[in-house]
Amino acid sequence: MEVVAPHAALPIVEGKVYALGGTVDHRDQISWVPAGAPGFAPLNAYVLTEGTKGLMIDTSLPIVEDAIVTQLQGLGLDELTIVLSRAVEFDSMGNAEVIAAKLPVKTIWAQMQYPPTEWCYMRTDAPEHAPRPTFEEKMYGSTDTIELTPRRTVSLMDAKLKLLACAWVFDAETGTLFTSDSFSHVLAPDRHTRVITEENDHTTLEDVERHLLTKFEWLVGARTEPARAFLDRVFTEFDVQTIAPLLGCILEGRGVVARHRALVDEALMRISEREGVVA
Amino acid sequence: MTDFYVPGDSGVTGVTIADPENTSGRLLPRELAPGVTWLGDCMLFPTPQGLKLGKLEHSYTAVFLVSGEDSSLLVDTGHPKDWVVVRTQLDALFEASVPPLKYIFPTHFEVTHSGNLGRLLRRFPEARAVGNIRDFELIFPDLAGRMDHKEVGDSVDLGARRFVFVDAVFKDLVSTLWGYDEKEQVLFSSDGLGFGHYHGDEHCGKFAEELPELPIPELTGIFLEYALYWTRLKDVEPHIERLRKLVFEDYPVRLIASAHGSPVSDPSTTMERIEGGMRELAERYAIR
Repeated sequence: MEVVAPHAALPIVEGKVYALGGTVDHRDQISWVPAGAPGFAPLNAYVLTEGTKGLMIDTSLPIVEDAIVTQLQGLGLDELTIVLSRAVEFDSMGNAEVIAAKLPVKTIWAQMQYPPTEWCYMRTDAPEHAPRPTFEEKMYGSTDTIELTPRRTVSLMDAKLKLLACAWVFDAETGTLFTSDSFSHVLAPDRHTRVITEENDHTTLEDVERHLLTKFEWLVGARTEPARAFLDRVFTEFDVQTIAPLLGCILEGRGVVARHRALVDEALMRISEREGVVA
Repeated sequence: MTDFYVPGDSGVTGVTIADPENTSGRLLPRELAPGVTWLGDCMLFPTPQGLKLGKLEHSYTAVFLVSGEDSSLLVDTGHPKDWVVVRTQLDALFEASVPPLKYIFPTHFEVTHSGNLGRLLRRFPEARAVGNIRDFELIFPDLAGRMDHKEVGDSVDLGARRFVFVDAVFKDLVSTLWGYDEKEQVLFSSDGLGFGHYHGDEHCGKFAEELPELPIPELTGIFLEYALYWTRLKDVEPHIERLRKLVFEDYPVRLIASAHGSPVSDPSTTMERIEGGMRELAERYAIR
């Protein structure tokens, strides 16, 4: 698969939050991309910044390792915290090992009882001879907050639209909601476009439904009311201005956010209704 | 001493374990059947339900080696934390003249099951990854040329022994496959039919039938609740029906080797207990 990634991190809000990563041509070889879907698969990670301090949300897949390391190094950070939304999956932890080796990582957070050092190291044949990690490892609960600076913290929530144990993260400073593997339904229209705004948003309900049934196959015949209630709660409680998924395009602007929240909600409702499942 | 965070609303927020190394890695390998060897280790998994009983759960992070007359196939790669354990176990087997490793079958694209694939392919340069290998180029791009895609019904020949790739009835990631060893009639069920066991109770490394005191229904419910979120949101009966058809009709099964549960040597009896746990969970969430 061919990777296309910019040399520099992509600003979502300059000086505050950046997207890392790039796109790959999926060639129907990616399990969460519906067969034959046009476009390119975005592979994202994110970093929030305050001066020279950074808080990274997930680390993406090894195929974009070089790009992510280069993009991070270009930000000139002297202290980095990593939060893993799903330590059990590669798109969350895939590059943590390399980033910890090449950047000033102070802390890695992972969910529940998943100590990051047990999950992040997979590259060397003789780990018993490797230098001991110098970062602090911490585990978070489902409703914790994590600090970037004393004045800027992010809120965690136990996602209900998911496959495996998963946290969503909200940054109130920029209104960015990090949805891990959810809201990953928009492929990049070309190799270089990973941000969807009102100007280039052509997503249909069918696109969303098809993606949900590909990524979350379990939804067939399932009650979707808990997921819909979760979405309602999240988007009511937080003023979301940008949705930042790991595996799909970034959805930017309140109008686009509202539209895609409604699309996902309607798709979930249709899936239940079609199967005759009582909510 | 290791400190673990405990999830949930039990009021217990942490537990300190004095002997975290006292897991199955010290006991395995164990031969489950001729030519089928159980490897790997356990993962400590402190659940609120277990701690209320004063017990700490384990979940296996198992690997299985299936050996024919000419070559061997590895089912799953082991958890990254278990790499040194798995490597040591494999080295000992191959030094003892077990046929060489030709195939590595990661049942799906999850760290617990595939995290050591790159290490294994580099350590065994003649081996190839087999299975539903979509997504794997994203993780191990430099090894993409050593991966062969398999679909349900495909098989590989290990020398007087055929290993078949079968449909996964219980799964998390959509690309999951299960496996079946025709010779000894062993079903390799990956995340399916998983359930924990208890630390300090000498449960590690044993068949389910060797542990009559093991509360399999309760432990199955706990495992599903944490590992397979969807099972609380849909009717489990169609899945049980498919599982029974698979095990008792399509692929006659004598042994079940789950990645996370104790191996099952009496499917007709023990599966009823596992199904009981599935139904209990469904009743708790009122979805039957």
